[in-house]
Amino acid sequence: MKTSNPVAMTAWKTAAACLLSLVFAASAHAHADAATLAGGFATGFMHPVLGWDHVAAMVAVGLWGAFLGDRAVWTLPVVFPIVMAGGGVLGLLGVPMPFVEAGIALSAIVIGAMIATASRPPLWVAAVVVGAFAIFHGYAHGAELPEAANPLLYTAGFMVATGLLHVGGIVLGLAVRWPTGAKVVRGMGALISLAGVGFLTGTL
Amino acid sequence: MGVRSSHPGWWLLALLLSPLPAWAHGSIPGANVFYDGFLHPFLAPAHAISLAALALWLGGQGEARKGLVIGGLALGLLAGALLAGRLGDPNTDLALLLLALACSLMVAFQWQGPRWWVASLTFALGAAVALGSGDPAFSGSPRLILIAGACVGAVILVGQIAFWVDELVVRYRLRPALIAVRIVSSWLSAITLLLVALAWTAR
Repeated sequence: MKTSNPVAMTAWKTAAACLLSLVFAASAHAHADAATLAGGFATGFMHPVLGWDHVAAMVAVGLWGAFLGDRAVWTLPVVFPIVMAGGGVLGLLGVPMPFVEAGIALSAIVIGAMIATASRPPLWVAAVVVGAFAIFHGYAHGAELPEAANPLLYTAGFMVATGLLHVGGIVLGLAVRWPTGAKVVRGMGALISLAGVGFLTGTL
Repeated sequence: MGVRSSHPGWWLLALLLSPLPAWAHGSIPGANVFYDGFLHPFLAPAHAISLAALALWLGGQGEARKGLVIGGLALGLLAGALLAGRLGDPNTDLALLLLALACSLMVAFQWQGPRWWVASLTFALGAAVALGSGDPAFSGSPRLILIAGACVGAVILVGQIAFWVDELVVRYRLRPALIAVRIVSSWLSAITLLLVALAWTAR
């Protein structure tokens, strides 16, 4: 196809742009229906994201993993969801667990303090600490699972959100490679710990 | 100024437009029987999760183990395809979730397991996929084609994921890829554990 007319050329470009926009409109239609999303992936995804106590603790896990370095970078984010699922099973089964919200707040206080004080316990100790608190987080998620319209999507949603918050913490924690970065990371740990106190006392 | 049909922009546009005819195939009711079966492992959550977990594990194995896994999976698919009708097209979702849990935990904790365990696990997973892919609405050759499509889809799903894990983790030894595989498998473990518990409590 050849043309030397600038007007025709502009028309072709406009037509191409319109066609391109139609292509992306097709992608937009690929979304699941609202009913599925309401009780599915979006609800599950937003559950940890909208709770600041969850967010603080998840980011702290990633931060601590990056701060400890080496195998801890992946060990803590691997241990957390698996043990969290164990807590979720307890919630599903309706096993009574006291102080769930306090446990979640305490997770932010303790893990934040570990980062702030530059604590470097053995890896298994760090995994046990993180795993113990993961039970409280899992319990809170699991208790809501039977009400979800689509349990699979709900579970996938909150698991992906949890994982992404961990990754966010890891990315921030990579700053420990530099002396100033290490101080900033420890400062973030202190902030998370203080926020945990706020969650525990109800001031936040 | 002329517009040449060989301009890269036009090729790009043509490439972007090509999905539109693909969309025209519509949903599963309008597709042919093989296509129905082929899509089943991708669209049925328990099938997709279990095959993805197996693929993550397969991709990180050495060549000898790969042969064992592929052989076990192929035999399992064949056995399941042959038995699906006789067993009345059982719902194998719970079994698949349990097998997915086993596979994803093995990846998360980098556990190789003895050869008999690997062979049994992959055989059981293949059989459960094929057994759960039948449809009582079909009989005779359409039924065989449906299950054959599901088996091909399962192999392609596993092969695609395993290929990339093998390339990135085993061949190029990319540490971030290894970390990503282990983290994703821990998510799969957690999801399957909760779904198994939910299925159990719903009984």
